[in-house]
Amino acid sequence: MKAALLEFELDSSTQNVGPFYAGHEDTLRYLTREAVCSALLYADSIWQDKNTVYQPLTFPFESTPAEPVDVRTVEVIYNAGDEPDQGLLRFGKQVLLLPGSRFRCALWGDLPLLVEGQVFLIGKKRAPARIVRLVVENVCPNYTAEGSTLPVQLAPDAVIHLRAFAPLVATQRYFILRLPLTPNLRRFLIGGYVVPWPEM
Amino acid sequence: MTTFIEQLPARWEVSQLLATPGRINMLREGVITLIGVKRLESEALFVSSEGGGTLRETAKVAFAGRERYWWLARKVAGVLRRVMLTELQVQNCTVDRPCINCPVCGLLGGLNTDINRALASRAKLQDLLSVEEYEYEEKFRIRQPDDPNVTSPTPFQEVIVPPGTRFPFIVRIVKPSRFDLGVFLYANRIADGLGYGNYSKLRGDASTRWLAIFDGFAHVSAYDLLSNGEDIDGRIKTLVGDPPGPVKKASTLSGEPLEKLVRQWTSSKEAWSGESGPA
Repeated sequence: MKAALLEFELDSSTQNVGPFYAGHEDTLRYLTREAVCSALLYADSIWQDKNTVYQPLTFPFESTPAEPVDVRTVEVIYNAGDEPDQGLLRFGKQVLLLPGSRFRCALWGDLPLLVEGQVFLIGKKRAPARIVRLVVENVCPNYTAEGSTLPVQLAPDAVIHLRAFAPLVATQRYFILRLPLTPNLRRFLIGGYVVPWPEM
Repeated sequence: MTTFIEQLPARWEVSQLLATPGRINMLREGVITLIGVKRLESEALFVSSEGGGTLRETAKVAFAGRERYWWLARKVAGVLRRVMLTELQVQNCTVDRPCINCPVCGLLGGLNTDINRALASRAKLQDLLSVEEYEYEEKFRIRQPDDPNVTSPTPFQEVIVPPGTRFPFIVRIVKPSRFDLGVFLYANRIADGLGYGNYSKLRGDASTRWLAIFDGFAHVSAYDLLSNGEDIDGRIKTLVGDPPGPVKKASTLSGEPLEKLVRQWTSSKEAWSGESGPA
């Protein structure tokens, strides 16, 4: 099976909007697997009907979420619009992932063309990012690989079947977890990192 | 000379955009990459933090080996939208309540909360990070009171971006039309004259020198342009010869043909609006 480990750096600020209340829009420090896969396929939504229920996206390859490697954030003030009391986010604070922030993720399956230096658009407002490290290898899934472990992203209903996990991010739609390397956990090794691939 | 710009569709109506499947592949639908250099012609203040007391500070970010002035993309996009709304004389659409039905929303996108429909911006701007190093220098300023009976002025401090500071300006337009490119170049020229950032009535003026338009998604990053010294023009000229990424190299527009197009399209709306003229 072909797999890739890649690290990318943001060329512009962006967000993966997390908690948002009282005019304070926070960001999660992880980017979802949907964000990674869409970005690397150059897929984007040109319009959205916000009334429709979220449908899970499918891709020709799998991905871990992008974990923060060297991520810096900053809180900025936000003051938009011309008229008082209209629209969203009139005035408030936003936490942004700064340009230069670095992320790491692993992909496997029917991979798209990837090259070092490649630029793609990711996150809120589609910030450009560029690949700064890329390892592409044929890998064999096993139950024994050891080493630093990448996180996985699972739907909430999948998480309840796990015997052990450390939650990193929890939202209504997905959990990002660190899984302990137990003997029955399928995984593979790529670029020095263990990628858990739980059998669901 | 025929350029790839002339082969682009004349324009997209919003109804046509809404008729496309919601999710698209950018590379299949087409992308153009514009690269230029924005230069501040007067001082500017791009405030992004609350600051303390009477101090207002331009944002900064450590990037590509040095601290740089940080000009958020939305501070450019906001001025562009207002210029487009005025220049295209759009009715019933404002910054606060985008209609999702006009040519400005068609290019810059928006969310209409009455019908719960969102259009994505097809113009992808990115933050502008200065070529020159950030320099912390507090300027002491005085604000005279409006009320003539009040005699004491208010002192305050600002950390501004000095005139002459340059920023690589990378813009991608997805599913582009001649109208999209034309209105963008035209509005950008006017926006440069109006100014950006805080108190733009008196400052924040800029100029944009366009150096290349690539027919495709050029793998060009601000990091690439900024990490090899301050000769940004030289770096861009090298890229023009051999642009990385899915780009039709023979179509790249630069030099005199690009200057001519920008001159024509920024001086007359008719050149790109489809009403008359060479576009």
